[in-house]
Amino acid sequence: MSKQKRYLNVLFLLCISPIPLPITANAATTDDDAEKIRILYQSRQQVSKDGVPCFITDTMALEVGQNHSVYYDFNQAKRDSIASSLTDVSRLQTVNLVNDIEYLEKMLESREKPDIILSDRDSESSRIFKDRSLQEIITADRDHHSYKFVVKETLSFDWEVSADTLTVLNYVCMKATTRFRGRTYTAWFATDIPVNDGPWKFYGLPGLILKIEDSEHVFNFEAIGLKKIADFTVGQNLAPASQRINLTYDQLNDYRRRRHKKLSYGFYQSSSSITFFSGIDNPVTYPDMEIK
Amino acid sequence: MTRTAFAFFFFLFALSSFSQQEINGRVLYMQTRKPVVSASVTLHPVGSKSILAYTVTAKDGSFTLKHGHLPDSVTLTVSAMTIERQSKTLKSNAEAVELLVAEKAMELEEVVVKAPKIRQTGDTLNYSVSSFTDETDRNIGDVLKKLPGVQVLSSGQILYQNKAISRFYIEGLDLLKGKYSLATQNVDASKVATVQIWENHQPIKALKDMDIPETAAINLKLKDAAIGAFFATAQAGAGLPPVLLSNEAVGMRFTRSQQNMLVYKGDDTGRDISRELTAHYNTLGDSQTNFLSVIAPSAPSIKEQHFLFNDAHIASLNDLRSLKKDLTLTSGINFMYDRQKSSSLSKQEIFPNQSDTIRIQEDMDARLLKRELDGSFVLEENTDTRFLNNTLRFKGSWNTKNSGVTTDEPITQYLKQPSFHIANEFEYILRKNDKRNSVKARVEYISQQHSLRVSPMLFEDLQNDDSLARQEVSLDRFSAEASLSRNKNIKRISIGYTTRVSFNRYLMESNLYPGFDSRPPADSVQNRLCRSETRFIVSPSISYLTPSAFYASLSFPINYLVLNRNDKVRDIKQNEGHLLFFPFFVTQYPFNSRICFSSNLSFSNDIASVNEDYLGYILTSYRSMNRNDGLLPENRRTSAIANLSYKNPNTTLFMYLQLGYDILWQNMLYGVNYNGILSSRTNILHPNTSHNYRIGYSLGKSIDAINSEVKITGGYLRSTAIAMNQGQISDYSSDLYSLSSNITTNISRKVIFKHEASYQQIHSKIRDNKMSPVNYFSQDISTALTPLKKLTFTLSFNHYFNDMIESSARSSWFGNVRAKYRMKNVDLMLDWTNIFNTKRFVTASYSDISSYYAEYSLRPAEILLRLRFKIF
Repeated sequence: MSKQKRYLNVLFLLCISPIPLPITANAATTDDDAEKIRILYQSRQQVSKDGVPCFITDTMALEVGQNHSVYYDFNQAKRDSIASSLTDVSRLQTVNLVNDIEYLEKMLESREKPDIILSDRDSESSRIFKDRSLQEIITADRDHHSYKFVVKETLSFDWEVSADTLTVLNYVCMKATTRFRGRTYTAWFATDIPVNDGPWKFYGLPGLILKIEDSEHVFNFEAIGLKKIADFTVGQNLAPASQRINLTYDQLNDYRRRRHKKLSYGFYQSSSSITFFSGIDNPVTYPDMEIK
Repeated sequence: MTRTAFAFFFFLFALSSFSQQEINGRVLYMQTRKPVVSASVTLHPVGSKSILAYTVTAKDGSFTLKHGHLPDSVTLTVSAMTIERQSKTLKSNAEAVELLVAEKAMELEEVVVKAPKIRQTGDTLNYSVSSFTDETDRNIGDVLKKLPGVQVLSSGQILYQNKAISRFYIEGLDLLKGKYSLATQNVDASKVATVQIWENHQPIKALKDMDIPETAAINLKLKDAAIGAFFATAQAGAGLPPVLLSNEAVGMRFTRSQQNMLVYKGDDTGRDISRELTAHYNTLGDSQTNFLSVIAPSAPSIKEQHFLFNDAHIASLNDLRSLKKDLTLTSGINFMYDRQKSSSLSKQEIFPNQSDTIRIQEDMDARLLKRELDGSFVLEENTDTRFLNNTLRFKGSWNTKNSGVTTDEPITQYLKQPSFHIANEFEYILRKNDKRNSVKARVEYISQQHSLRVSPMLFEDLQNDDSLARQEVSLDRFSAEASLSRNKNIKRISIGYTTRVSFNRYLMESNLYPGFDSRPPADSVQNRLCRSETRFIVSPSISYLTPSAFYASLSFPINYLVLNRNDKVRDIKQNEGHLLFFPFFVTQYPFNSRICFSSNLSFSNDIASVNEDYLGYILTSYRSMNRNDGLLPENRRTSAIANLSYKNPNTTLFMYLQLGYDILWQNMLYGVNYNGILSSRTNILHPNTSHNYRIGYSLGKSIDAINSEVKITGGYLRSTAIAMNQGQISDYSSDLYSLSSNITTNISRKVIFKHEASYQQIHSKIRDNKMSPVNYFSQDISTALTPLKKLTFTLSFNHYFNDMIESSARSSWFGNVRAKYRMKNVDLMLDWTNIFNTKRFVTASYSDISSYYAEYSLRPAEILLRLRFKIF
């Protein structure tokens, strides 16, 4: 058994733990954003786990003012705090790093599942900031520390509105379709909510998009809650300008694709010692939303 | 040239026919004339909602709408979050349009996202308590009843998917050791955040992944503010007629390392508080062996508050403390004093053969006095590798029953049942990787001195001048047991064995004294027995568990019993050996996360217990004298159960279907011989089998569209057996169909409606005579109104119907009213029960080869005022 045993300090785990450090916040609000609402969407995507299709669901929030909006994972803060309690590193004295697959199989047999999984997708990590008056969309993604990967795009959607209607959350919605980066989407927007915004990067309809789905049913977003709010809860939490890395959306997609390919499993041996196995293939394959 | 000119004109024509019409304009705030940025501007046909064109305003408030072909007039609508929506009908060739709009905050019909009522994480189901609580619920037991998938029986026992829960935890700790009704009846629902169901819960950490129990456990997760806080409430209640009292004082504190609960209750209003002390698991086993009984009214199947004349007091002290990590000491001491009165007129008809009918009519007036003290001390260490448990329990009871019965003449019966029981159990399990070893030991002692006094004595041979008979029976039992188990996991298979030695010794003595004589008149009414059972048990077991949670386990205990019986009166000594088996096979197969199949197959053979050893007569009640013939009864039982359960926490739908079959073979047939109303038991060697078939079905769901919690349960039970009366053997069978429903609807926040209904139809057949089917129906209807925030009125009706009764008494109605006023720290409750002042209740039924009819005296209309206040 090739077992490397090393003593590492607490900082090591801080490096690999998925907790972002607090960073500077530039509030995106202006006077035009005097009125604000938060829409909660259930965002569902079809993934493949060991070749078997299954769904994963995130609760996403869209906070909109008259000109600006921010779209983010509503439960991320909660997940981060759970993850930080799981990786409470202060009591760890020993961290073993192991690359032995047989030993891992044995551990999995006796322990069924690891105590900690690192590099797994636990939430939607991208945050999307829109300034609709400038048609500017900023997608920010994070590494383990901060939202430093930034994609700035100018996007407008070519929507085709039709006469069909659908009621979502008691609002009568009209149908519109568009094609965006390799997928065709059908959106349902409510003209009674005069906000030309929507989940993900979608916007530009004369009413709020309450539901949108691609034609292959891989991605689906549907509003589950609506609420007026006093202020944006998530500012433009980007890393300081000097640390930002500007990317194209292709590069960011590439990063997103690679990030969850390999996992690390951690098994507590005692309350102060943990064994990590790294480089394990993720059984789940996530689809790309933006194909080309 | 012509060609060029033609082409030019054609181009112009084409351009004009494809050219777009444009409407330009600006949107400005009416008062400030500042531009409105990012407002939606849409163009519609007049009187239609369909959209011809749309755009948003730019930074200067300007917009341009383009469309291929517009009708003459169009409607232009502008809307934004900060302005009042404005529409304007204009000519489609209009030039620059200026729209002045008023500032106005957007009106939004908010939709609040509710947390799902039930969430599943792994093997844990989390029921959000606030989603299931309404204005009328006080304690957590009220809420548990409504949870889909959970059933609460009238005894207080909790089932999950039709299987009794194996543990009841508060914040992960088992404070009450099975007496969890104390928690369900006294923990305030508002203190509990989540009720968790832990499916396939293994309480012993060292057995995790080795032994998968079928049963689930319940854990109450308290609200953060309730953890560590000390709660104390008191209640004072008084009512009429004649004098009613309902008082209580309850204190509790729960942390994750220390928990306490103190309860005192005193009540004589018919609310059965003694039930709170029932142990639903961790019981002391068959602590009493009752040879004697008094003939007294059996409880009718109506709400006890209508028939129970009681004066009960209970006190319970419970303490759990962590001595160090994973090591806890749990102590509990309970005392109960309960005085009950009941009276009824009953008529029993027994049909031993085609022509004869034996009629027993009894007018009964009974008194029961219960005084019981029990305690338990449990020291437990529970870690991933080691489990240690030592449990010391004792129970003393000083119960008496007396009953006056009038048949042809008045008869008095007085039964004293003092008994004492003490037991210590020890268990130690050590797990090392894939192996585990365990040691268990148990020592137990029970002593009981029961006596029955009957006056006058009806059995002629024993009649005497004192017109009295005294039957005394004493039983001492000592038992000890030790076992050793070893288990080893080889990949998915776990193989093990248990060896066990147990020893039981019974000393039984009985004497029947006619009159005040201190010596029994004959040997035939005396017993002095000594019975010892020594068992050697070897139990190999094998189980198989896959990662997909398919689990199968087979155990095959082989038991060699050495039985010594010594009848000292008749000087008969018998020594014999018996080989007994008790194989059982358990499987569990989850098809997916929703549907699970489980089954249980078992076989057992056994021989009779000490109850069937005595050869001298015992006066078991005023009208029966029993003895055995010295034959050794043997029985064999095979049972099979299959369960299919379905759960979907997202839709809150829970269902189960259960099929069960039991077959019991006995080498002997018990019979009763009647002489008038007097009876004696006989038994003959007559191998016979009885069968039981069961189907059970249940469904529970929250239907949010109508704000309701709905439960439906159905079942079918068929039993066939034979009985012997007056030496005649008759076969009988019964088919029971049942259906019950339970719905709680929050019509609005101010009106809550509850309906519980139960229907049963029983077909009985005695020999070839089919009795006409009997239909039972009962329902509870209750409506709670909250006209003011703090004031709740509850009106409830209980209705019982039985079509075996031919008089107007076949249908009985009871009405109750409650008013409750909530203040900050005080609740005021006024109850008016039995408002129609219904004075009697009649019931009738068939059982094996007899029919039974009874009329009960009930509690009159009563008024009770209770004041419940928070001390802390």
